[in-house]
Formats: sequence, C-alpha cells, structure tokens
Amino acid sequence: MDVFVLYYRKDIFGDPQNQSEFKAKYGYDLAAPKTWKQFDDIGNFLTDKYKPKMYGAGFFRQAPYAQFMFQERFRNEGGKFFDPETMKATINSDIGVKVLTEMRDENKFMPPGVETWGFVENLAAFLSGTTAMTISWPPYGRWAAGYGTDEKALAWVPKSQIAGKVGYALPPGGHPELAAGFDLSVASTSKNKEAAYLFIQWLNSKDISTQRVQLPYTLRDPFRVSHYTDPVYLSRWPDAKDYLSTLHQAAETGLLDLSILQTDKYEEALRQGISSLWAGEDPKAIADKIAAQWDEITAKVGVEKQKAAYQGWASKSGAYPQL
Amino acid sequence: MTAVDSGISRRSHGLNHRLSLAADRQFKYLIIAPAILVLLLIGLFPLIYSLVVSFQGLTMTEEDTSFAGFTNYARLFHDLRLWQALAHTAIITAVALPLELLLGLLMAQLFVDRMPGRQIFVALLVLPTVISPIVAGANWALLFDVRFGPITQILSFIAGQPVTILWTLNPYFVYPGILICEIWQWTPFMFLLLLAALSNVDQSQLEASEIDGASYWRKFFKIVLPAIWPVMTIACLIRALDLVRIFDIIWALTQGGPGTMSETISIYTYVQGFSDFETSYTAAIAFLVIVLLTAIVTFALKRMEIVR
Repeated sequence: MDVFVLYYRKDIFGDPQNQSEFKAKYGYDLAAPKTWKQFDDIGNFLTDKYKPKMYGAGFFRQAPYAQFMFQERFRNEGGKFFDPETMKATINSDIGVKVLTEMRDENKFMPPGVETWGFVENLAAFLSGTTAMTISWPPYGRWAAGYGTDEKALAWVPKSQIAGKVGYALPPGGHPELAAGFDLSVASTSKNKEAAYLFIQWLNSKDISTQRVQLPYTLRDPFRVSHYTDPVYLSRWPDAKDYLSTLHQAAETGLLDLSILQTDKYEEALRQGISSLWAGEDPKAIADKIAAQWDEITAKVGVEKQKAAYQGWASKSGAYPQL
Repeated sequence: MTAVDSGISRRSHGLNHRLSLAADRQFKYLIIAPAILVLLLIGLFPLIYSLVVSFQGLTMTEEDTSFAGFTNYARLFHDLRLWQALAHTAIITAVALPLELLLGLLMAQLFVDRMPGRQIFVALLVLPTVISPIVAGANWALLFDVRFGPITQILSFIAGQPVTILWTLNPYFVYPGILICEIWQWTPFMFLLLLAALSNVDQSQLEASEIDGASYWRKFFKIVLPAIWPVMTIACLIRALDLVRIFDIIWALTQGGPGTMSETISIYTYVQGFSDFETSYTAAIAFLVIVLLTAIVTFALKRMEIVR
C-alpha cells in the first residue's frame, strides 16, 4: 500500500552520547518523533551537531510531493479542507497557516537547496547518509536495506551506504497520507472484460500477489494483510520485520487522499501555493490565495454537486483522523 | 499544302498545344494534390475544428457540444492569469531577443574574417542550437543544482564561502536562470544567420570608405547595417515567434513556477488544455494567440518593408 513512512537512522538515534545530549537539552528521550514539535527538535539538534556532513532531515520538497505532505500534516493537526455545509474552503485556517509556516521553517535545518528536491534527490541524500530522517513511500525502506538494488531495472537507485542502520516509524501525527497509489481496472471498451477481470483477480490473489510485492522492480508495496506476515518476506533482510510491521500500521491508520470532483485542480492550487512558499511568500497570503482558488473551483464545479462528493468522501473512516 | 490546309494545320497545332498545356497542368495538380491534402488535413482541418470547439462548452466533465456563444472568448478578458502569462511572455521576449541579437552580431563580427580554425570554432559555437530545448533546459537544471551543480560550486569558490542560489525558486533568479538557458541555446542561431549576412557585405564599399577615412562606426551604420538589415529583421522575426512559443526550457526548469511566476502563454495553454482539460476554453486561448501573433507579424513585416 502506497503510504508515507518515516525512515530514520537508528544508529544515530541510538548513539548514547546523542541520547544524553538530547535529553539534557530537550528533556525527553531521543526516539522517532511522534509529533512535529519533536521532529523539529530532533532535526535542529542533529543538524547543529553534524552539519555539513549530515543534516537532521531531508524531504522531497518539490511542490507535487510536498502538497501530499501538507495534506497529511494539515489533517493530523486538526485541519479540515472545507466547511461541510457551505463548502467554503477552510484550508486557510490558523492550522493551515501554521503548517505552511512550520514547513518553511524546517527547511532551515535541512540541506541547502532542499526546496528543489524531488523523489530521487531525497532518496540519494538519505541513502548516502546525508540526512538522518526522511519521509517517503515504502520503496525507500527496501532500497535503504539494499534489497533488490542489484537488479538491472533498479540501476538508477543509488547504492545504500546505510544498510542495517535504518529504523521505520509512522510519520509525526501517527496518520500518514496514502499519497496516490496504484490500482488495476478493466476498460469499459475492453473486448475481453471477463478475461481482464480474471487476470486482475489472479494478479491480486494471495499467492501471486505475495510474489509480486517481493519482486524488486515492480514497485508493488505490500497490500494484503498476509503480505505483512509472510515468512519469506520477513526473512528478506534483518529489519524486514520492523519494516512490514510499520507498513501494516501505516496502512491501518493512513489517511485517504482528498477525492472529490476535479481534485487535481484543487491540488494544483496547493502545488502553486507550496512553490510560492519556497519562493519566500507569506504563508498567510498563500493560504488565503489557495482558499480563494478552491472556492472558485467549487463554484465552477457546482457547490451542491461538490458538497455531495465531499460529504461522501469525508464520511469515510480514513478521510480525517480521529484525534 | 494549300492556305486552308496550313490554316487548319495551324489551328490543330494550336489546339494540340493548348490540350497539351492543360494536360501538363492537370498532371502538375495531380502530383501536388497529395501534399496539399496532407497540409489541409494537418493544418487547416484542426484550425477549423478548434474554432468550432472554441464556441462549445467542452471540459473534462462536460461533453456539451452545443453552441455556447462567445462565453469562452468573454472569459478571456476576465482571466487575470492569462494576461499575466502574456506579460511574462512579453518580458522574456523583450529581454532575450535584443540580447541574442547583440551577442550574435558580436560573435559574427569576431568570426567574419578568416582565421585559423574558424570552421571548427563556428561548428562548436552552433552546437547548442542543435540540441532539443527540453534537453537544454534539463541540463541547465543540473548546472544550477545547489548541491552538485558546477555553477554553485564556482560561485562558492569565487565568494570564498558556500553560496546557495535557488535558480528555479528564488524570485530574483528565476528569470535570469531562464534567460541564461534561452540565450545560451539560441544566440548561435542569430550568430549563424548574421555571419552569413556579414560575409556578403560588399567589400569594395568597405574598402572605399576606408580610403575616404570613415570611422568604424560610420562604416557599420552606413554600409554594414543596411546590407545585413533584411537578414537581421527576418532572424529577429523568427526568434521573436520562437520566444512567444517558449515552453520546453521553462518547463524543464520551473514548470511555470514558483506559483505562476514564470508561466508563459504556452505553458498556461498547456495547463488549461492537458491538466485542467478545459478543452473549449483552451481553443479560445489558442485563437487569441493566433490573432495577436498575426497582427504583430503583419505589422512587423510591413514595417520591415518585406511585404508591400
């Protein structure tokens, strides 16, 4: 299941000197952060101690990725996308402004230029040991362990310098974004609908899918409950048990991506807002602009139509976390 | 042969000649017909079809092909983002074009005289023009990269301390970054055309003016510039049209960001058409651009005295 996971350097976190220094400074134990405040504390602490060799954290800050992280964090902080009765966008609430402001401020303890990082740049930084924490989809965890990266199809993945040193946890807030994903479907114009359906059924059957999710080059993440406890998968690398356990937890607590009519237009407004944030614009002004754009889109789609779609989505258990 | 016979003979000869001419014309039309048909299919048909679509209400979710009047065209005038995109395009054109012309002319002046290795230098200088713009943009994105890009490393070396410039995000550097890439790639085009034009300047006039004691600038403005003017104006017109269409370099560098800061009319049209799927509105935008460009080109050509 495509879901965000926090990856962190358990060797750095487990270092006794780091632990005592951190506890002396912040008053709590150095461990995988459960809140964004803890994340900021740890990030600052590690950057102050190790830079420029290593920084506390790095993220893929390019707008298309960062907008997922915003959606996740905004909801974990208690934010709601819309007023369910009026369909006015509430993304520019105090929570929205706070999240944007904190995201911007966190760049200060991340490597210079992190605002331009995409999936590969962030991966390369983490696998080379330049960053001590990152958040990304499940493949990072497998590649950090060195699993499957000898395959020709994965020659583009940088070789991990941190195999055996990576811990896995839920991102701060405890409810990670499912952040896009993959599905299989049958085209309505297919001449062989039944055969196509049966093929999909076969692909997703317990035995075949268990093999598929372990093929290094398929980018298929575990999605059946049985995948998380498969003995073969558990034996793939020493920390596979922790990896699968975290993925299982993340799948159960994960947040659905916003899914209403013409969602991409709303996300495009978010993407533009985030790139403006990195360009130095005021978070409040950005949040207000995003909200105004969202209201415009809602008006074009039709308020009542969109309200029905939103209420349908919001009623699902994974839409908003139970805080 | 009698006079009547020769008259009949001349008439039949004339008739044969006209028939032969007609057959020739028919054959010529037949030969070029496939090419004309293809041009009509890929040129005229989409143009007319787009015009029709621009008067409909087609979007991602609405398959409304009924006549929607001038709704889409009216929307153009209220679309602030559209006019901002046109302004961004105008800024890029207004800055890049004169710089490319000036640099191209300077380079052409350097290479117009014979020198050892001239052909090799010219070939190397022209290389940026032959690569695809999207590749040029992607390469400059790597050159500008903060961690590994050589530009940052060179600047840091010169400054004596780490320099962090976000060329694709910092509002002060976004346009310079785009312009550097654009000018790097297309100045050689100007250089090549102007080199050819300079090579054909009448040398006897130049020699005569030298004997008369004319200064360099007098020779340039009175002899060289008038001689290369037609080529220069055509080169400028071609580059201006290319700059109005600019897409690949900006897409590779900034994707129109941050926000919509570097969004040009091509990028905005692409976003409307292939991201937002506002099909009919996109067609209206396209026609607005066609009208604007046609007006500008016609005016420019008349001013340049290329057409009467």
